[in-house]
Amino acid sequence: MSHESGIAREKNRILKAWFEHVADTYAKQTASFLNQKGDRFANPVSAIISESLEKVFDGLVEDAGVNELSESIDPLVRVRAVQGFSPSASISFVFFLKKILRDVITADDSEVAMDLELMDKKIDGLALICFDKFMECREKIYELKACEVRNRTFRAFERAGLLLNSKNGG
Amino acid sequence: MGNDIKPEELLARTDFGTPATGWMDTPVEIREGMYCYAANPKSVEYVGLPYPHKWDPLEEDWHLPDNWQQIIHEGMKQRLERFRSFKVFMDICVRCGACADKCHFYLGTGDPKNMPVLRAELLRSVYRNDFTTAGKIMKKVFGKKISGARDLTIDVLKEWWYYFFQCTECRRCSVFCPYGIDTAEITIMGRELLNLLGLNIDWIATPVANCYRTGNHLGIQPHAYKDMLDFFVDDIEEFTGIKVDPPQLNKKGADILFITPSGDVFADPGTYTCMGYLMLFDYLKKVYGLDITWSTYASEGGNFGFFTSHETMKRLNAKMYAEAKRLGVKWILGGECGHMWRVIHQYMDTVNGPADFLEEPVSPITGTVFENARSTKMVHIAEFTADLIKHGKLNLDPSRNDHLKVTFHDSCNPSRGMGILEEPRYVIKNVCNHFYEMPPNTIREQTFCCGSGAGLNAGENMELRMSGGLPRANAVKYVHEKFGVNMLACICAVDRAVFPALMEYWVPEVGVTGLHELVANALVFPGEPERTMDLRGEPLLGAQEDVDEE
Repeated sequence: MSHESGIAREKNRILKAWFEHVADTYAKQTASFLNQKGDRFANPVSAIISESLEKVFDGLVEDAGVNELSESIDPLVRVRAVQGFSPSASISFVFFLKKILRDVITADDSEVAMDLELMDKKIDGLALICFDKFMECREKIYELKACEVRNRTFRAFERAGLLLNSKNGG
Repeated sequence: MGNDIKPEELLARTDFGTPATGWMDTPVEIREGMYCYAANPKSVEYVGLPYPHKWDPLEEDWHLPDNWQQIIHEGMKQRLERFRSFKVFMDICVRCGACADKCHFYLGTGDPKNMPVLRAELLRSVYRNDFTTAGKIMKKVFGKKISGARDLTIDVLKEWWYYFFQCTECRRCSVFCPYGIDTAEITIMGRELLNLLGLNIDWIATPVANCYRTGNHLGIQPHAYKDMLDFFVDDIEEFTGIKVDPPQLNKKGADILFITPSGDVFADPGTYTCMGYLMLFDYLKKVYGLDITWSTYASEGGNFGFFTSHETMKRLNAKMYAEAKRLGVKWILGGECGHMWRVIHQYMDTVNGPADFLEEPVSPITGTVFENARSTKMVHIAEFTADLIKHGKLNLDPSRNDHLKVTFHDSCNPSRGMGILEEPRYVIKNVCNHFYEMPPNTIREQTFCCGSGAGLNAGENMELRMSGGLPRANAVKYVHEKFGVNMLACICAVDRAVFPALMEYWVPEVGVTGLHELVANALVFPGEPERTMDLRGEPLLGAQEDVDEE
């Protein structure tokens, strides 16, 4: 895809709309707070949404590979994986981009239409990447739930020889 | 089927759980991962807390007594009369919203009921209805409610339970309140009221029962406590080549009693901090003749009673002074803990004091008088060690921590609760060569909570902990990416217990340490063999190459 394409030129408009769509998946007061942006430590989720969306958008436009896109989207999916969204709602923001692109870009010639079609395919691929990432995050949560006590206390006791091991018939 | 959404409509929907009704009229949805399991009735019964019974937050019926509304009403009335602060905090909030975006749980979850102002409104709405003159007149004369008032229904009670156990009482919001409303105190009152109906969480109730019976949260008995300390002595020798003496236990007539959270003795990575204490005390004993004792009776600094009621907090705290009196020590030294210090600093002296049988703490090594502890007779170990370093009493080689790039998390209670801001930094800068601060609005008085304090460090509420810890982890990630920070230091046992999981989720390259693990790594004992490993058995920088060359 050419960097000179309409899609790349409209980056700011597209990202603004994409951000607002993501913010709208939260409660009204929270969407308003996220839209205030500000300091990235005082409004961390807002900063994470902005940074992730921009990196992913650049990656899509510049034909980035799966690994790079996965790394770019990681912070945002990681946040949404612990915020109580259903899995589908958690990663639905990916598909917003298709609509936004059509709202912003006019497919007035075949080259632009082809660009949009290519972007659609990339967005579908991005959705699959997000699905993998979401599952990775959820599996990590379950692993932490299962292993934390063992790692924290059981291991300390084991090191101290205070637990009977199987060799001793414990 | 009529209301079922079609697949093609999935993307068009905009109601991602956002309710159509206002917050007061929307019943709470209790979600898995966001709450801790209900208290075991045996634990509630053991310490004589009210109405022990079996219940499940996910079930419709919480098996409450028939007169539960009356119990709550009377409980609230008593507390409004007893605690002036509670009454004032109920009355003076103007809902300016300054606190709204300051809570780590709100920032992480995006749930508006985690805005401190709204969490307080959960209680305040009932206060307006039942306790204000205007509320009572409107109800009696006109049969209406004043604005912002509501009846105490079962849905309201469930909402209290859900959200008062989504607050870590960290008090960050209170820093920003123009009226100085301490929302933590509102949570404390909310939890006290819930406890009147036996509605606690097990991660609090069972540690409280264990602590009352055996002396510490895990219910570890004295011989196991001793075994762990003896094991640390062996580990220290294995990793450093230094043979420290086994610590004195329950020694009558010792100069100082040392009390630390049991997490340091029984949970990684706090165990390395504990090894750090042992090495420091042994060094001070051999070089300066320090006479310090540990106790298997006062074997818990933490006080989860603080998360049930003032009375339970008092009972658990009492063993510190009781043991100090029994052993006849001069004063008490306290380890690296969080809420233990809030209880000591703000409650101990009045609930269990005055400890007039103890002396004003004086360092036997430097002669420094800890005037700030004149009243409680209990000194924070960060102050004690900083004072030793300031007076040149420790031989330190900070290069032994060169494999670490350290940042410091101000644990909420010691920092916001009692102003310990400089001492840990002073210690770290003297024992480490690579120290990097996190951004200013995430440290010191504005520090972000670990997201798991106030009894919320269970496993079943991992989503709550990960979202609540997001603002802190976000700042750690920043210094990790900018400066290569690989170690997060803190002075709280809950922090040490919960940060490993938080880091594993958000910034897996960063480890967690207590202050005195770093001190012990740097501490040079007279005539000690050359060290090649730190207290975790990890090779020191340069040591690995030396081994390889050989």
